[in-house]
Amino acid sequence: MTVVACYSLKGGVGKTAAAVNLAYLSGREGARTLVWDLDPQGSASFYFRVKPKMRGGFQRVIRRKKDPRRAIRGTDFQGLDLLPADFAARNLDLLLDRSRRPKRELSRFLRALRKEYDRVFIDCTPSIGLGAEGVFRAADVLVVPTIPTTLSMETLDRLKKHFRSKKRRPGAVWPFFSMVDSRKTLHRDICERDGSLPFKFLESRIPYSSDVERMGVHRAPVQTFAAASAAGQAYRSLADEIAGRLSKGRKAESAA
Amino acid sequence: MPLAGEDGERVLAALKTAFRTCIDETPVRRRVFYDTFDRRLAGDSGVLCATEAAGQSDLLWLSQTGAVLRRLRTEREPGFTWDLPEGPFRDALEPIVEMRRLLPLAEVHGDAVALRVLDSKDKTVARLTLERWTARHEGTASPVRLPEHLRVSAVRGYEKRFRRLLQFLEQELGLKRGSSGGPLAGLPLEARPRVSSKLWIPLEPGLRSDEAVKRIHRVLLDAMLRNEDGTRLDLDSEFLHDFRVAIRRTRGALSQLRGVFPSAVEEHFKGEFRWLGGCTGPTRDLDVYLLKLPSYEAAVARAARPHLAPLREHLVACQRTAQAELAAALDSDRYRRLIEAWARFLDQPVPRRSMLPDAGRPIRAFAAERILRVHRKIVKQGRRITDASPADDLHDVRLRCKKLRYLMEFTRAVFDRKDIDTQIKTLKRLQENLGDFNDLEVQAASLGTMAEDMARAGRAPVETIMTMGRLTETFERGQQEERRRFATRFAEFDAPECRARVRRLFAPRNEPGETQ
Repeated sequence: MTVVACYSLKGGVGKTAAAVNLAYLSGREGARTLVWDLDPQGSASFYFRVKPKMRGGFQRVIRRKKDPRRAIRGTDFQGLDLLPADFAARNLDLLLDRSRRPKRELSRFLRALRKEYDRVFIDCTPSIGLGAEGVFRAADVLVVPTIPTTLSMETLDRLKKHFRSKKRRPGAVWPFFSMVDSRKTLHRDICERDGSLPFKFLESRIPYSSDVERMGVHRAPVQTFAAASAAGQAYRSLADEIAGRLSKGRKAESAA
Repeated sequence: MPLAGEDGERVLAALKTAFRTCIDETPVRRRVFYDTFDRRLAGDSGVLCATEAAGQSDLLWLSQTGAVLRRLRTEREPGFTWDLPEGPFRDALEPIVEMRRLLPLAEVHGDAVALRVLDSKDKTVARLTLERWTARHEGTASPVRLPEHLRVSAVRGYEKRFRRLLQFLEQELGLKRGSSGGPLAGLPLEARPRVSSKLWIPLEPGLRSDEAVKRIHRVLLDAMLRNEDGTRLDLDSEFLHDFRVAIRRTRGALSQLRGVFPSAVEEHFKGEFRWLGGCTGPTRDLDVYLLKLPSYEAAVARAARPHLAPLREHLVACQRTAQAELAAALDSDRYRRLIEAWARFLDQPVPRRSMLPDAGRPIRAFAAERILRVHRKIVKQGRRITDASPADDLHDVRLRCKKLRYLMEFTRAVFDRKDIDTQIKTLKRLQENLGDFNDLEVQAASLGTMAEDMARAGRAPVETIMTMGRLTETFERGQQEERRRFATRFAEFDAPECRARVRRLFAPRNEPGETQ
């Protein structure tokens, strides 16, 4: 099971859209996929038309007092399930703080699902508390949507520094440019700033597009209503790039 | 749920009235089911199904009950797993299917209307598919109309809704829940059942030898013909394997049971089958290397495994060329003439009185005499082998053992069943040892030649050549081990109880017609 976390310290950068579209495409490529909506706002759950409520109660499920598998719900798409959001997730940091090994809690939780899914996409909340630390530890890959602006790059730098000071880091950090508006000079400039970027960026870029915003109207991934649009194609290329890097990584791992 | 008559439309209409529903996408018009020839997926995993709907192709992995386990959007036709796009679908399929080819089992046309039951937020809470298929089977003129089916599946987390739906279907519409027998139920399958290559030829001990030998050859010819198409089309390497085994056995029977047909006939067909055997050799050798590739990979250090990729490419390319040559040989006039003439000869009744001394003897006596002769030779040769003997001596024993094995297998029916099976088993153990000894030598030599070829063609990086070199060393070590094991295996074969069994089995009996 590969855990891909869509994470950013900044809000409104396209984390949920990325998680939902990447998970949808992953399911369509034959991977048994789960989206875990860890954001108390419940946007991913909204897109999949699922009530943002965890059956059994968020606390009890996270602490595995209730079977996490019972909390999972099938989406409209075969091969793609959702662990819905819960408003109680706003207290995730507090909840983890009370456990004996707070940073390991989420990894342990996911371990219970490893036989059922090939890929898990986590839609994270924009914070850097214990919850985020738990995600960093559980994730094989951290996918970071980044708007090409000065502030976003600052945030990314900060994240890099943060990881440098930690013993335990996520398996890999793959940022990609999100909400790119090619009409803006600043966006174009930053996207072309190849050498001075804090991480090696994925090559695919998600354009700023009303089709992504229309996901809220259709309550479905872009691919289902605008597959041929620029955004649809961009997500497809992003998904292919990530799948390619994952399989390359797995080969290298098995060779090592 | 099976539906009677034209119930489908009524059920759909009733569902649309009672629930919020949505007809999904475009209906699937065509489905092709795939499995390996030995039905590896059927065991507990189900079947693969390629579907087409409005120009989009999906490959579905269906469970035995017809539920979709995995789905892959791909335009590629399933063949070998390595032809599929990389990813979890392929990863999950690989350990089950291994090196076998996925072959089309059946094809159905018609439509499958997928209906989703929705809740108040238009979220899917259950799925239904109304399936109306017509299947056409090769050789039958009229298509077979399959009974209409309604497949109902739950969506995870919405079990209560699912129960309510089932209740509606059963109580309101009077449908009965029934096992549909899986996605392949009622389908005329492309029958390519694998027939075991283990021989059992019904013979009576007193049967005339020429008649009995013709029967043996007929069984072998049938095995050849059964595997001919699969070999020509390279459906799976097992077809060529069985085809080749049948040729080798035919050649074995022609040389070991000689003297029952006119010698001109025997010589002619021996020559022709030698030619045919030669045509199948290169492809089979390459098939074997490809099948063994995973074990080669396992034999080298993990870090070195990716270096073997050029070897796979080389083998695949060579196999394609060899296969094309083999297919051309099977399409040649020479092959057609050989098979026709051989079949004609086997179908001719044996002459009432034969001039050939062995032709009229009972098969038991004739076979026992030949078996004893070969057995004695093996014992004599085997006892002479020491640790200092050259490898060629072991190869001679191996070839004789093969002949002995054929003779015993052809005529199993005329000897004591238990004794002959035990004797074959003992021989088999010795053959395994000698076979491995030979295989390892051949593999080490071939790998060396291949490495040279690849290096000359500039198709192998240094790492690949080095890894192949290390593999060769592993084979040579393995060969030495087999060599050490020979003494023990041969002692088993030459043990007093084994010798007593041979005497019991093949000693001449004073029966009418037996000349000893």
